[in-house]
Amino acid sequence: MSDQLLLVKDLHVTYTTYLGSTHAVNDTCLNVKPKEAVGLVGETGCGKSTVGFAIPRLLDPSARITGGEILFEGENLLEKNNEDLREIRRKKISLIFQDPTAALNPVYRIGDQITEALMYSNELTGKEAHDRSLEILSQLGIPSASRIDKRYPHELSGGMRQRVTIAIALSKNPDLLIADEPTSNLDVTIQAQILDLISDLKSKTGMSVLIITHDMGVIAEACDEVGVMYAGQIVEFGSVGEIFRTPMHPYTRGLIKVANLVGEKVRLEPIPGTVPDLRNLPIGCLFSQRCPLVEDSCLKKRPELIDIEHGHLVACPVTIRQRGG
Amino acid sequence: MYFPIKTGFGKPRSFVHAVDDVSFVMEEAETFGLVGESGSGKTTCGRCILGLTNPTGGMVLFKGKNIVGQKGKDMRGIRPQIQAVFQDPYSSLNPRKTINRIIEDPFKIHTTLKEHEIREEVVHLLEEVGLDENFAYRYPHELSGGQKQRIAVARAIALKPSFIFLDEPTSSLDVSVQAQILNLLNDIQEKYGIAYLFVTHNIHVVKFMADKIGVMYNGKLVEVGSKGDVFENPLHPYTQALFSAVLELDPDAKVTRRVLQGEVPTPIDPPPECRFYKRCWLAVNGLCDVEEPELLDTKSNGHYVACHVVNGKSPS
Repeated sequence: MSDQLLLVKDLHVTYTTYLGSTHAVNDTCLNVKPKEAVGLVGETGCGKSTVGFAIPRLLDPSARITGGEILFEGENLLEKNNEDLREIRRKKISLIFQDPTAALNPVYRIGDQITEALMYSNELTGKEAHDRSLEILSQLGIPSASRIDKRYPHELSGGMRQRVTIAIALSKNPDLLIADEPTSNLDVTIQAQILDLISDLKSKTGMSVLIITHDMGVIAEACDEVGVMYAGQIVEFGSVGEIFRTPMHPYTRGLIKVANLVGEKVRLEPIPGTVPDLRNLPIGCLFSQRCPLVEDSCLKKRPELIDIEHGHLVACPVTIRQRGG
Repeated sequence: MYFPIKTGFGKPRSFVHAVDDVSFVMEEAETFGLVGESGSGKTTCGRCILGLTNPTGGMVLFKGKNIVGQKGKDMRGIRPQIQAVFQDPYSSLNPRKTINRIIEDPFKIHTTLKEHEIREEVVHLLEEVGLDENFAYRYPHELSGGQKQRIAVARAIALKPSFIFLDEPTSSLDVSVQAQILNLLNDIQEKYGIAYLFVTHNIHVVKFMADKIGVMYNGKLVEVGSKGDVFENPLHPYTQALFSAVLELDPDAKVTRRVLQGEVPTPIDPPPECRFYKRCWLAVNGLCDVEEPELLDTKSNGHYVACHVVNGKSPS
């Protein structure tokens, strides 16, 4: 299927902790097409970062992928050996993280770090890599006159550091960029710029982007499609316009309602209850204890993602039935 | 206020102008939202008011009395009236104390209540912040982020203060938990008439919570006014850029962003020019680069702005 870049099927990831196994990701399915920006949104602990790191197989050693498939360009990454995975990470999948400071080596100059990445991924000589690194920096709006390449990370602002990590990530023209909370640590005025930059580069290079975030504003700004995660599952998936205009899953609706702060002190309606214990998942729907639409059948069988219309998927049979589907 | 930097010989050579000539007024039971990006000085302002840092100059008039540099006994009646809730619920609660001990502290230090009276107060406070009395014997690490913040609020209102400094109180919380805490803060304010100095970089939150807004940039207060005025008609170019950069929850929203070129200038020994001069599209040479603008209310409607151009000044 040539329109599939990334297809995650029924992924299941557990972490082994002191208190038992936690089911961080439960039967999750995700589809990222070429040249598309897909967002993965959810609150703390919903498993979105776990999905993000599972794809390039960069999970913590305490994590085990216990089920499912990760099909990247048609091939299952769960069946690849370490050498093949390294090749894929070298050439095809890039990551950027929340904290650009932690991603940069404090004792090497910026130019050297970009050059190193280029030499490793593109097999260029030192001189070729150096020239290319200046080119990439200028593509990011950083003129060579600023001599960023000669600076150390600590001499740069947060926004500039993130631009550099993007430069390194994009230096190999990846097919997929995975961005984990790329703007959460940045100032308001810089956030929008960085997201615009990522969108711009996506258009120019044709790469796909998977943006993992808790911030609905980031999704609205930078993504084409979005998956809403709750307790390790994607409970709703669709185009960003659809999800924001007509959210269907009760959790999504609760989330959007509570994220929309109006300009006056009205009473907010937080979602009642708390996330289930991931060590002891209930049998039926994981949202049932907090759901305003809960019925008996919800407690017996975990709902699957069903396509309601035109690629808008929801995991809630009650909602689907109420809509006459 | 100024922080001196020592450059090796002991005597300060340069100064970081963390907060420069900032003045604002807060009314009783009002929420004043102080917004700004990192390094703007908003947290330092709060710390000066709380007495956690000593300002190099200026006054903090609390109910008419200057509380800067006051000695212990002069502050005795005043200290309990000024409280704080900080951003990180993990580091603001002593991990080695149970919840009841944490909330008992203010009473033990400032009152002469007996043990059983204090215990009653603690239970009452837990109830106020929506927690069961069973939380009293738990340790902070057993609580979620939202629950910890509720304890921080309980501790802050223990002595019935008239003022609470809140420094990004919900920034580390999930959106749903944030809603709970904001509800709680509004309920408490309505019930006890407490004034809040609410510091945040989250424009959505400040739009929701504040009655009055102050915008800080690089140590200076560049605009102050009622929430309605500042949001409907942002006067300072930085405020306009800041608001235009906010990510809306509407994918169809067409926003014209004011992209700021350059970087925030260094706050170390700044030259006598407008701090926003190098990034400002309204900047006038010979005016904005020679004199710092004053915060003025030229239309006398309570909406202040520190900008030569907006205030109609011309180069001399």
